[in-house]
Amino acid sequence: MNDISNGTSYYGEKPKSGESTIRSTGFTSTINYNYDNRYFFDTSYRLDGASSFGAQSRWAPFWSVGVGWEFAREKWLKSVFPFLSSGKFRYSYGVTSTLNFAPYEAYMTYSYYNEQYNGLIGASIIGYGNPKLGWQDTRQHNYGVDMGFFNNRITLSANYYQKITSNLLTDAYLPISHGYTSYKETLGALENTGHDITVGFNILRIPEKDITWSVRVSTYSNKNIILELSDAIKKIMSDSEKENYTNSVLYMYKEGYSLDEIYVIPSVGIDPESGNRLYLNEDGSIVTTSSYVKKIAVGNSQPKYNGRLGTNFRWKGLLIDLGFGYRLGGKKLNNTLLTKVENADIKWNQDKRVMQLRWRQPGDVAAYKNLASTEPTYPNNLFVFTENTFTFNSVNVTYDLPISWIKHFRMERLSLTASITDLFYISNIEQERGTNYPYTIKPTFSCSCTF
Amino acid sequence: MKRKIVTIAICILFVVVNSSCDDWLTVQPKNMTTKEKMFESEGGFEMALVGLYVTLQGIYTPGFIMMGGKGIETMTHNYAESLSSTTTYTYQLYSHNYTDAEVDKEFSYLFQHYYRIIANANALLDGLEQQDNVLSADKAALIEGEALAIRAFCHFELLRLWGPVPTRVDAQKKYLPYVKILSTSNYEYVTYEEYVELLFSDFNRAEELLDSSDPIKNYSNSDLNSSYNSIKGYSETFWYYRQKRFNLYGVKALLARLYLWTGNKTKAYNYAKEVLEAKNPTGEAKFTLGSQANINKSDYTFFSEHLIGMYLYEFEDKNGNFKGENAFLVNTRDVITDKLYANETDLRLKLFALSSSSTFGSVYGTQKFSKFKSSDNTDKSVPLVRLSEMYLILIETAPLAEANSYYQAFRSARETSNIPLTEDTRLEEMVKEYVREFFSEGQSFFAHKRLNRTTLFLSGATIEENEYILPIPSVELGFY
Repeated sequence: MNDISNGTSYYGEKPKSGESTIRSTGFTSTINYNYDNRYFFDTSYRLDGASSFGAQSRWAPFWSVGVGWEFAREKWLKSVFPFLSSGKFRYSYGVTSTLNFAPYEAYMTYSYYNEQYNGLIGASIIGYGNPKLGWQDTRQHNYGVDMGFFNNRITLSANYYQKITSNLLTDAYLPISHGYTSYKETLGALENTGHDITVGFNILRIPEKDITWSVRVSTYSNKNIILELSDAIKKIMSDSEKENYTNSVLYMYKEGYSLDEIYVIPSVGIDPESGNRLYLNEDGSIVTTSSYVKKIAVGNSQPKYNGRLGTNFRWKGLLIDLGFGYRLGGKKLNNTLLTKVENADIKWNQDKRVMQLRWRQPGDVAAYKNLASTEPTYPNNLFVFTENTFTFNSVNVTYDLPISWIKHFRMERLSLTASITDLFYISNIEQERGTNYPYTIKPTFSCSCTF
Repeated sequence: MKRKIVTIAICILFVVVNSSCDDWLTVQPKNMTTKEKMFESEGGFEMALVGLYVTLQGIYTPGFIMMGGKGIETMTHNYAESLSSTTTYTYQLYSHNYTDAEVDKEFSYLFQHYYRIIANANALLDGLEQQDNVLSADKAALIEGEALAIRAFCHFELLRLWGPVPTRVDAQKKYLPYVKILSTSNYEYVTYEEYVELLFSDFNRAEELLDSSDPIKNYSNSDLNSSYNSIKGYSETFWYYRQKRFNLYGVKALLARLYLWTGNKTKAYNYAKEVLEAKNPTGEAKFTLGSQANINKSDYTFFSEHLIGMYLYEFEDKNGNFKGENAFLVNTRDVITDKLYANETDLRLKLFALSSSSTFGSVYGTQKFSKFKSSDNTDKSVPLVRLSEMYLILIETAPLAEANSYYQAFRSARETSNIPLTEDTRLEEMVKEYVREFFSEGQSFFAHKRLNRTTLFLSGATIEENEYILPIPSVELGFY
């Protein structure tokens, strides 16, 4: 016991100390083989061991295998599809893992008390160890194809992947008759599938006039599903299911659903007679208080498709680059409508939609509740919209002055650059942005010279 | 080709060497020790045992549930409660509203911590079973005996709080788990009969082991309570201060208490008598009743009576006259002098001190825990079992004539009158004595529960049978 934190008394404050040592060792190997640059085969193998995993799962082997076929180099293909300038299929399957918790959670450990009991020192158990703790591993299939057409005027690259992560580290709860409330377990599995496609068009290539123009489009999309959850997490979820926050949605973990699924209370609108918001209960009845209404899943906050568009034009010393981005299909809570129209307090200055769109007297058919109501409305499905956005990410213009102009100044290169970011944002959901943190457009001008 | 073979051979060799690296990959943390490493040395066993005491002392601290006012003393109505607000925590305790959220939370903490001590004891017992020549036979027996006694004690306390009134047991019902293993799967709840059987088996085995190894059998407490380690053959501090650990007589006293709890009066009588008649080698009694002499040296907890005491290094009263926290402002002066001590003089009245409170007027505060500051030079022991309880057990279980002789001895030690008991008055007087003697020590709730009394002595309020039984904490029920 020579660690400084084990001392019983010090002048002034008692220092705290923390210490951890992890030892790990490993072995890796790879084999690569190709035949005629047309058929490829690769495999790799790795063996790792670390002190932080329990004695029963100390060593873990990881490996991957991949094959590729450059079909564009096949003679018979070239004769059938002469416009295909390059093409390759790829497939790989791999298993990888991570080590991700404190070194000593695998063992039952004692820590020493700093108080003495009648002149003697005591030690007590910190928690139940779990010698069966293992590696968190991920198995991934990846299918891909890269092609080029018309002498690579048009290029296409596409990938599809499927990844399953299992043995996620989680807390498992214990009944208090164990004296301790939780221990670490590896349970739980998550599946991620997705694809990405990139297409490039080299539209103009005129070397004599030094003009090139290309456009590229890419899209990617990812979906995740929780395959398995530990009982401890299921219990936390059922406890927190009843929680409500006035301006954000609830995320929960449920087997069979995505990590990013949004859960809100189902509402059916405003009662024209009283101005109260009506909610739909699980059994089909309509109620006016949202307290016990069960929340439903309304969609994923991650977009279905996400991507970029860009174009690049060059003429002699002038280079113009534009970049755009888009998101399609994600669900989002319109916070502005919820907090600034529905829940707005009429004592303060408010958005004019508060006057125009909220309910005022019996017989009004309105989208938002009674002006006089002071109870907050919690997020419900009528405020969740599918969001499609298109943004102008950046524009960048660079001009390299011709050498003939600058050689008088003994310069080798002088270039001027101007750029702006975040020029516009088009979305189908109208909402306030930039209220918490101001937006920056960042117009930047720079000049650089080389002597 | 040859180069290929050599390369492959080297790779294979490397893998083989790596796989035998298991030893190197076993790392011992510096500010903690794994269970395996702990039980490789004598010191490790000693520290694991002392760890049990440190946690236990945390539960039996004055002011917490088992000792003070925000706990069973309020449940017994021994401590005054203002009744003006019906939402305070103490009001819920006073009205036995155990399902209140805060009460549930505090009692879950208590429940969990008893089982935590039990889990630690199980780890220690597991280590003892597997050790081979690390400990001498004597020390192994002492440590095992104490660990078993502590495990049984915690289970007994759980039974007294969460179990049924002993004369009204539901034979089929599974009340509590008796835990003797360490495992992450749910522990099995057992019937009352099984639980009591396991309690007796642990206590009896503990008595056997301590009988063969405990120095208290052959040496007096004054020899053992010395810091000079002067007894021949016992050079380490670990063997001393037996009164502040689970010693042979403490275990016998707990057996007396358990036999009485389960209705076996004869055996309770036998064990209580054994403790009372324990003698030092020089012939005088090993444990003596407290008297004015103890009060003169500020020993308000009567250390000479402690059969098992918890060493408490520092405890400071925080408000009131003695700047006391929940243990201290106990009840109005009138209730104490008139009702509790029946308007008589009594040595125990000197354990109270007068103060005043805005809610109640003249009040008494207990002085029992006023001399526990680090600067006080007192014995610093919080009693779990005292000799007085042995007297009360004897008075309750002995034949009437003998009982009366004990009663007379006890009452004169308390410098108060004694009117001989009759079969009719015996039980009633005993309940009163429990309240008088064990003020701020929590034992009177259990006296009421054991006898299934329908009224609480000090307040006169009626109490139902179900109010004596705590519900299993909601956090625990969620798993079963």
